[in-house]
Order: sequence, then C-alpha cells, then structure tokens
Amino acid sequence: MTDQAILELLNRRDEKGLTAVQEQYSGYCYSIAFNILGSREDAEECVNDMLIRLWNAIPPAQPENIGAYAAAAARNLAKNRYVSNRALRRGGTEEHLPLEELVVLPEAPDNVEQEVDCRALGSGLNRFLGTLPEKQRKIFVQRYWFLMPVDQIAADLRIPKSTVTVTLVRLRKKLRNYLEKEGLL
Amino acid sequence: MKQETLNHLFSITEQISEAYIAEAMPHSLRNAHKLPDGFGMQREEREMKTMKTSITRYIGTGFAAAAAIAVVIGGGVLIGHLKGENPGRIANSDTTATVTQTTAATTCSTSAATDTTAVTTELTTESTAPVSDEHYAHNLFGYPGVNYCMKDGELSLPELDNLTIDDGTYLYTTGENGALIRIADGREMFRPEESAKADFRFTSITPAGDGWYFVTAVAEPWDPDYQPRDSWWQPASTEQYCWWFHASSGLSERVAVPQSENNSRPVLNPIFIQTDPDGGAVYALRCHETPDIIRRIPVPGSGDARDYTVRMNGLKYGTSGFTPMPDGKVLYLDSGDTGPSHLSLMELDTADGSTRTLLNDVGLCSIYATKNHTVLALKENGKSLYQYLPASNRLITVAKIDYNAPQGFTFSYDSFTAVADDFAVIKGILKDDENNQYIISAMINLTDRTYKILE
Repeated sequence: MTDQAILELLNRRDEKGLTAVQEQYSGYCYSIAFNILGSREDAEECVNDMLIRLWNAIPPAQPENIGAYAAAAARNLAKNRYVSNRALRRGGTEEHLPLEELVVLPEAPDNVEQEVDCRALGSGLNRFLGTLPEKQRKIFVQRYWFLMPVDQIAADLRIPKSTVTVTLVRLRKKLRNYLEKEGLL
Repeated sequence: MKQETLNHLFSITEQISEAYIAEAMPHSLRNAHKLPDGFGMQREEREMKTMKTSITRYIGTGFAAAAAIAVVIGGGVLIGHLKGENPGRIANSDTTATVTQTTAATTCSTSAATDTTAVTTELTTESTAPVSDEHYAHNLFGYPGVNYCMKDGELSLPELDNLTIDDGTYLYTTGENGALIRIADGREMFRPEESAKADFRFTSITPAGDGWYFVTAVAEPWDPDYQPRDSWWQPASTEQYCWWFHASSGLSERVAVPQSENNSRPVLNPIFIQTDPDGGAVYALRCHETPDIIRRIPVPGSGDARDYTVRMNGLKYGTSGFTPMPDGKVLYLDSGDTGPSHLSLMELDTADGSTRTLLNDVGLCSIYATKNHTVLALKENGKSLYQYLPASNRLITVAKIDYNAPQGFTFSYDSFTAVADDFAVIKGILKDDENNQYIISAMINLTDRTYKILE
C-alpha cells in the first residue's frame, strides 16, 4: 500500500491504515528502537507507542513519507526510554551509542540562547548533508540517525566495514569544518 | 558522556530531514512486512488488537453512527457513605463506614460525531455491605497519605497509610509504629528516630529511581476540623520531616525543610511531590507563599535543591497541580488573576526557569503525566478525562463518564490520579441535601479506554 493510501485511511480514521503501517513499517521502526535500546522488550514497546502516537497525530499531521514519520516517532520514543533507562541504571555500565562519536558538535546548551543554537545546528547539519554525495550521506544518516552498527551499514551498502569506518571519520571532520565555516561552532 | 550532551546530540540529529531519512532507509528494512526474528509476535499481535480496540472505542469517528459498540463491562458502583462529621478525614479508625454497592451494567458506545467515548452507567440492582475502614476511599486520590496499589492489573485498596510503587517493590508505612515496611516480605526498612514523637506519621513516599525514595512526615495531632482539600492550604502542621531513603542499602539522609516566609510553617506539600522522569530527583510544591515555588530536590550526591518560581496563586483546586516531564519541563496549572475556574496550563522550563502559557483559561483542575509521559488532565465539572497532546497543543477526550445522580443528590467530578502506567482513576463526589458526601470513582484503562467503577 502506498503512503498516500495509508494517509487517506488514517485521515478517515480507518484502522486499516494503522494495520498497513504496522505491516510495512513496524519491523523498520523496531530496528531503529532496538539500535538505541538494545532490548527487544523495550523496542517492542516503542513500536506500539509509535503506532498510538501516529494514530493520535494524523490528522492533523499530514506527513509526506509515512515511513520516515513513523521512524522519527519511534526514534524519539526510544530516545526517551533510553534516557529513562539510563537514569535508572545510573552508575552502572551502559552501551555506547554511535551518537557519542559526534563529539565534533558542541556540549549541551545551558540556556535559551544556546537552545536556539541547537536548532541552527540542525539546519546546518541538513545543509551539510545536502553537500555530500548520496552514498556518504547514507552512511552518515544510517550511523547517526538510524544508529546502525558499522557492520550493518557495510552489509546494507555492500561496502567493506573499513570503508564505512574511514568514511565516518572523514565525514565527522568535514562536518566540523563546515559548521565552523558557517559560524555555528 | 553526560546525559544532557547526549540529549543535545539526539536533538540535533532529530532534525535531519525526512527526505534524507527516507533515502538512507536500509535496504533490509524497506517494505519490511515481517518483524525481525525473535520479535514477540504473540504479544505484539495481542497488543495491537488491544490498541486497535481502544482506538476504535476512543476515537469513534469514521464508523457509522448507528454502529455504536455496546460493550458491557462488569462492574459495580461504589457509593462510600462516609459517616461522621469529617468524611474527608484520613485513618480515623473510630469512624465506621457503610458502602452501598450497586451492580451496574455499563454501556460503552462510540460517537460518530466527536472524538469522545460516551460511557453511560445504568444502575440495576443494589446491595449493601460494610467495610472495616473508610480511609482508603479518599486516600486513593492524592490527599495526604496517597494510597493505592496496582497489582496484576487490578487496583487494590490496602488499608495502609502510605504506599508507593517502584519497579515492583512496594513500600508502605503504618501509622502505628512509624516505620516503613516492605510489603513483599514485611521487612522493616526505615524507622527514623523522629518516629518516636507523639502523633508522628508519614505523609508521602515518592520514588526517584535507582532505589531512592523521598519520604515526608509530620508530627502533629489530627485536626478534628480537618478538611482534606484545604489541609495543605491552611495547614495546622508545624513540624515536617523529609528524608532521602535508599531501599537496597538502607541509607537515609535528612533533608532540610524550607520554611514559609509568611508564617514559618514548613511548606513542602506532601500531596504535590512528584518523581522527576529524568531520574535522580523529585519535584515538590512549596505552598503558603506568593508566588508559589516548585522545588527540585535531587538525590544525595547529585547537587543542591533548586527553586523555580511559578505563579499559582489560586491553586486550591485539584490534587495534582503540576507534573514533571522529561528534559526538565514541568507542566503546571495556574489560576492567574481570573480565579480557579479558569486554570491555565503552563510550562516551566527548568533549564532557565522560564514559564509560558500552553492553554489559556482552559479550566483544568488536575493534571498528571503517566510514566510513559502521556499527559492526562481533568477539566473542572467537565466529567471527562483528557489527554494533552504537546505536539499540537490541544486536549482530546480519553473518556467521558456520565453518571446520573439519584434524585436529591448533586454530582460533580473532583480529581483524578494516574495509577501505574496505564490506569487513571477519576473521583466524583455525590452530595445529598444535608451535605453528606459520597464518593463515586471510576478506574479507566488507558490502553483500551474501558472503565469500571471501583468496588
């Protein structure tokens, strides 16, 4: 079923739309959540929460790409759960997320002005991605948005793992230079 | 890496455009019709079914108007007639109570015209049964000594003064021996030396994650004119104690109690102490002050308490006037200058202490975020439980409970609280001509939007 057809069903409050989202995108969203949480149960919960969130949001929301929209919701829910889990495990060992490699970006903001900077950085990041060749952009997004392990990215794009690793190192450096040039760092 | 920094990185990368996300969608996941191996299909299917049912009932639009779904829910109506002069009083063992239990046939139907689930209750038979202790009937709803217990999907009403739930560990206190007891094995967990004082009693226990609990107590006699609603507003309490207590190690640490500038009374209101969902702290409302202050109290070793000034001049209504959200946001209700019937929904950002209005004059009387951060709200006299949707900044109806008061009685909804993750309890008050109060309460399952009247 096309995204447009799903959207029409959801707009009509037809639960078949939700079933279609579940069939087409729950595996996808599950993987994203699992990459963040590393827990099957938690990832399952996120998928279910995502479906509820989608149902509540559409309408009025009219996303062009249901898959990306669902994935964004799942990622956000997984992030919240990760934060919560991490707080509960305070002091214990924990998995490191690929995001932690993005130390090229500044520390957390501590005031409103810097919060605005966060949005500016997001826009800058999108502009940076727009300058990249498609393959490099995919590697970056798969790593830092989908939070995929390097070997999965390599398998998906059919390139050696070392290529992924080296590309990521270069992209991080390039990103830093780009944001500095734009005055965002 | 610091949690704040990680959140920041999430926030930045969250902004990556949908087009790039769609482009980078891994091949293995494109058009994934099946969940990965090992995914709990049975459970997932079951939950989907439940969710779909809930959505069907909840939204109710898109279906033929005539196709009202009749769901008969077994239940009963509990009318707790609290005899005595102080029906709101807690733990008064001398007071007897009579419960009129009415078997009910409850009909849940969907409406094609609105997003409201209309629920009507028809009384059919009636029986009377005595109960040994009346205090649970109101302790349940957030008055001092919050008292509820969710176990195996059922709300139980233990005859305990205080009880809290955290990760399956139930703790409670008893007014008799001044100790904090673990329900699972009856073990005494915490007995402060102040508990030897006359009239000592615990007033709240709030989990803060990682085994920490914030515990409050007072040492004061019960006020015979005690009215629960005003108890925190015009308190008789002069001695208040607070501790951090760590359940697994048994460590405890006394926490200094802020004093009111106006009358030197302790000002942490035990009703309004809430867990910080980011972990490691609780939030408490300081009252008797103008403007009002919300205080964040971190667990020992995590920094100092911090006060945030908010304008809640008329917060006499509702039993849960604020609710912390993730990422340092706190939603709260503010009567502003227009009085308690026009309470607005506000947001405090603890990053910089700023506040902003989310919904103006919306008339909410109670607000509460569940552990999964669904924000629930009750409108004064609205008879409906609402969900607040931050993304669209609006309220949608979760459930509406129509209760037809018997002749000679007036009925109004009073407050609600969220119980565990997926249940909310609405309390309504039925008054007769002589101003006797009866409590009608309904527990709503937030997953499937069904409800039952508490027995």
